[in-house]
Amino acid sequence: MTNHILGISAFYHDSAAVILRDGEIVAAAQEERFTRHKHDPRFPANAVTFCLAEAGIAACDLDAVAFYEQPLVKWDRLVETFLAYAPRGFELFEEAMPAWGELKLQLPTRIRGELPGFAGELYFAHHHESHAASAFFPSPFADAAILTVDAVGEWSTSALGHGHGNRLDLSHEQRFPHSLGMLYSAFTHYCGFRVNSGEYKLMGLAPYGKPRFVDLILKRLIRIMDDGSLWLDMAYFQYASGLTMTSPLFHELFDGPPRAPEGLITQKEMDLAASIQVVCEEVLLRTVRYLHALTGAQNLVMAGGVALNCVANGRILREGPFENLWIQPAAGDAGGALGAALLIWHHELDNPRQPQSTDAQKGSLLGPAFNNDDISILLDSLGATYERIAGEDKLLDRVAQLIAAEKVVGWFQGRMEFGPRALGCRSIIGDARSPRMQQKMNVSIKFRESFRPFAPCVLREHADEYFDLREDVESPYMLLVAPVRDRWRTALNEADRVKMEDPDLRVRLSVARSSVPAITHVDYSARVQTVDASRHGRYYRLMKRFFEYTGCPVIVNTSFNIRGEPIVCTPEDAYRCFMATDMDCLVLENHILIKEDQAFSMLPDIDAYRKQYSGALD
Amino acid sequence: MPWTSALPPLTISFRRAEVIAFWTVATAVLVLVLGITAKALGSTTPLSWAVTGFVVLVPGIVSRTWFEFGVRGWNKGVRWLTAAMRAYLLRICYYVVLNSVSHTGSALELAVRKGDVSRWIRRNDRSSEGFGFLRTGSVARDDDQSLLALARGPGRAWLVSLMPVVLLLMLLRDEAQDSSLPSSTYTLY
Repeated sequence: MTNHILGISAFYHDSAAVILRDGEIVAAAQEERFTRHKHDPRFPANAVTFCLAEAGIAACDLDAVAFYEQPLVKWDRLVETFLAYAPRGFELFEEAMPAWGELKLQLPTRIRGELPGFAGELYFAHHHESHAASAFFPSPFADAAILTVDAVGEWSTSALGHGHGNRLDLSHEQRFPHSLGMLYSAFTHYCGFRVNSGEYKLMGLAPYGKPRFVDLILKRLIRIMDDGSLWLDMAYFQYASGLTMTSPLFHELFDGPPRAPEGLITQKEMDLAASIQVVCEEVLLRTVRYLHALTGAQNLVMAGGVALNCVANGRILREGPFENLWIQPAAGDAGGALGAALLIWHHELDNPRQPQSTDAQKGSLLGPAFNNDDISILLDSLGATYERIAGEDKLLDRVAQLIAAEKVVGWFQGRMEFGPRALGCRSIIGDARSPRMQQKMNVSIKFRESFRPFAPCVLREHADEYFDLREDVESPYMLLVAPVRDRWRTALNEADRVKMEDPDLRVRLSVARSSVPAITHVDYSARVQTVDASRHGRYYRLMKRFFEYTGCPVIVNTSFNIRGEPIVCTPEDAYRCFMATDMDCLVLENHILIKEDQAFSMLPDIDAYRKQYSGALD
Repeated sequence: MPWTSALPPLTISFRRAEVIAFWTVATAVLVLVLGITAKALGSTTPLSWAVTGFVVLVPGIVSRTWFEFGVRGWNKGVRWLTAAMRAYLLRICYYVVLNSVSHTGSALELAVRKGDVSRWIRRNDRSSEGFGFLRTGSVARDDDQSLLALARGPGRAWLVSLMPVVLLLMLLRDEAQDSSLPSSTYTLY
């Protein structure tokens, strides 16, 4: 008899739902994509509805539901934290306690209430075991060491373990408040970025700086043991007892208050970013060496928010002791929904596991898809001017030519991605060779003045030609940063060197540093996504066609959204974003829309559109 | 479908009747409460207090504006009172209950241990030492997710004293409250 397990993560950061049919991932989606509310923490009612529809069942047909953490254990940690700081820390208590009284201590009732007719078992997994399961079970390895690192789950802030066959065993953990994720978030806050979403900006800022604060950080803030475990001096942090990450002592140590959000980024912030990045990488490298000694495994799998630090991941792969590395693409809390469901399937129900040669994540393309007929109906109802192209060949020809002509293309096809990255199904794409592409995409489409380059998509078979990656290494989920190979780099002339000293980071970034300038960072690094035929289908064929035209196997890929907006989910979301930005064309499955052909009267109120997402700037 | 088209007016009439009944009862209650309170406080004219209550509320039965004014006032009053009671309750709970218990210590390890060479904790070795150290792969079910289950853990019996607070917070919840934290901190809960 067919078994269906629904995995849920909710009420913390990124709520999501996943459904398994006999252990196979059928569907997965984050709630924010449906509600258009970034990092939506509410019960993922829309995502659940989608998952059930995709599986063709109702809630009453579910065999089990798995929640990704144990709220009561988290409550225990919270109470112990209050006990450690009382009578200080009332502000945090005042925020937290009502949420617990109203919701989190009644979670089973709430979850069952949201799933009418469901009478099966409701399980609560451990937060880090959910992460571990999301990393190991879908990986291509029969045997692997497991590392989970995030800010905090229930008590754990990181965990080490070993997975073999259908079992995983998390043998070691570090406990709150000593947390690498929290340390990184503290610097994120101090440098003026939003906690729990601006960490990737700090990582992108690091190449501009010099790590001159490393010694100070190691001397005063953190003690790192040889095995990568750590202790934080909590006198410098306030996250356990207040509503800010850092304490006045921290501000004193770094000569001033935190940078105001949206304020000028100075060399100090760049140096702080470089310094904390070095510390983070050092902790992770020591940890993986210890983990390797502990397990003797050749493969490593990772999950947890810190596993999204793709610069550190690149170093782990290049300098760490493991042969192979696989990272859960939805490494944050959304992926916990997947892990919890897989944990029930393999551990609780003791079902065998057969690793797949690529992986079982299906390219992380697990969300909703839309067919051509429905899109035609929608576009007609919107009064859009479009061309529906019957054959894929003709469509790919057309789009490849548009990209080569430096047009910015909104590319919407197939199933939506699960996880924070757009991987070629809800992407804005362009020509990586164009020196103007970076600025055009940032200013006219994303509405931001970014200091970060865009990520490259490269044909799998050409990845090692362009980037310093081993020939057998793939990065289908954009989770590795690798240097651009020397042969593609361009030498800086005197004028470029002067620009590289400019306080305005956009000026520095505008210096073309390689033959693919739109994706090359100032330190010649790039956040690579390898694109292959088996995972990426039509997207791969499009890139192949572009390569045939231009001889370049690299294109720019950025998420299909504007600043602060969740990645688009439906054709309607995509159309609205297309019309509200300076995107040149939009491809909705087999439909092509050219901006110039659209009626002026159809343009939405751009300011209102941007304002809608301004509260959730990332 | 003649009978269904007649439904809306019926429903509205019913709602009106309901509202008028509520308002009438509210007026009667206020008249009684004011009268009895005034008498209890030693007033020589409890009837005039009762009449004041009657005069204030009874126009709401006939005047929509007066009624809406009364409802708004009532809602604001309740919201304000709830917020005040919640704030009071939370302060008592934190500064009296938790602060007292905090003298017995906390499981949070803030101080660095002398001669520490590793901060990794072996999970399975400590499964019996306290809540939260569960064996790998152990999952909890519905019944394990209650405050009472937590209070059964070693050294956790005092948590029972938080139950009335939790129950009161459920009663005093403010559905309109914005629970989002500022961007300067990580949500610990």
